[in-house]
Amino acid sequence: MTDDDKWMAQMRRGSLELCVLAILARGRRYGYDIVQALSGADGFVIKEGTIYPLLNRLRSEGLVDAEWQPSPQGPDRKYYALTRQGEARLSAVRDQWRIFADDIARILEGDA
Amino acid sequence: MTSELDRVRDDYLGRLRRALHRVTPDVAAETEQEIRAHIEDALAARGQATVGALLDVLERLGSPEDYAPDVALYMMVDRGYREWSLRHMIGSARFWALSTAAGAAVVLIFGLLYAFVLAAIAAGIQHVAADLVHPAGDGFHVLPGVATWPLLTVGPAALVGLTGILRWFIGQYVQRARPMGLGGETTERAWASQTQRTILTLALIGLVVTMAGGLLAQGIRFEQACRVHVDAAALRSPMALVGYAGLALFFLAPVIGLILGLRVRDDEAGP
Repeated sequence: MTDDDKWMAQMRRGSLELCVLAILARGRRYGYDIVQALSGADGFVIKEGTIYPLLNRLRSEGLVDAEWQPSPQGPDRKYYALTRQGEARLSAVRDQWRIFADDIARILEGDA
Repeated sequence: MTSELDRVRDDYLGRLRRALHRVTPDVAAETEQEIRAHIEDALAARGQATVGALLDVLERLGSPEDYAPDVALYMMVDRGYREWSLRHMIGSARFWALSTAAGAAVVLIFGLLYAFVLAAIAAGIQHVAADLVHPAGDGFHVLPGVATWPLLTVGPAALVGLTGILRWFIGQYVQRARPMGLGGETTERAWASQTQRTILTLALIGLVVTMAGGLLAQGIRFEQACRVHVDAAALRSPMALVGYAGLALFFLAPVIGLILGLRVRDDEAGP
């Protein structure tokens, strides 16, 4: 892994949780569905299996709930949905993230 | 007849099951079910169920040894909390302990200390029982035959050394048991350090409560250096329960500390 890759991995890990909460805010989703939604951002998830520890951690913190549902094709799927606590967390972190991102952009542009 | 596709998939799921062999069967089954669904969904999305497509799906999923233990761990912790399932709480603690050599060593050391305390109490009870027959004696030596002064000088030094070793083991334990994706190495180090402090604090509180409970119940009396009197009847009093609670807290400190550690949010753990 190059130094650039390490930088990217650090940034990815810090923001992945926020992105998963934001994706679930649009409605309940299952694991592969979430990975697909994240794949829009190039290289966001290096190994798809790592999404499951994160989902289960969010669940153990009460931010998301999970429920098994039959699938129209293949085995049952485990659907994840935001809890009220998760919505509150997303709302708080999203606002902070916008301020943070604006500050970073200003520094990178040399305005600060 | 098993196709090549089934064989590759079964090999992968077999590795997944082996990576989960220390967790409770229901959690292992649910983890496998979720990964199996992921594989099927990914194959369906590719529109082709070929060995090449499956290998690509498995490559993107990553090695089950890397992610499966963390999935199972969070599921067990979650069930322990949601369902008040002692089985899952103990299961996750056992999993943590067996996952790392240092974790196993910490649990072993705490277990030995626990066994020592229990043995001391048992010895005391036995002594009291002997007193009933021959009421001449009123105590017992913790370390019979060892002179008091060497014990008082070398003993504290040994205790400091043992504490240092214990701190190192706990540090190794929490460092290796830390969850993935906390948000960078700095945050992971901060989490490990915080969790280590929590474990040591809980263990210390447990020891103090044990001693306080025993002394308040007058079940344990220090009559002179290295001489302890244990009263079996007093150890059955309600106040003695406080001491037992402290003993339980002391023994379970590594487990409770790690479970509490998992509840710590990234932004709280980070600098």
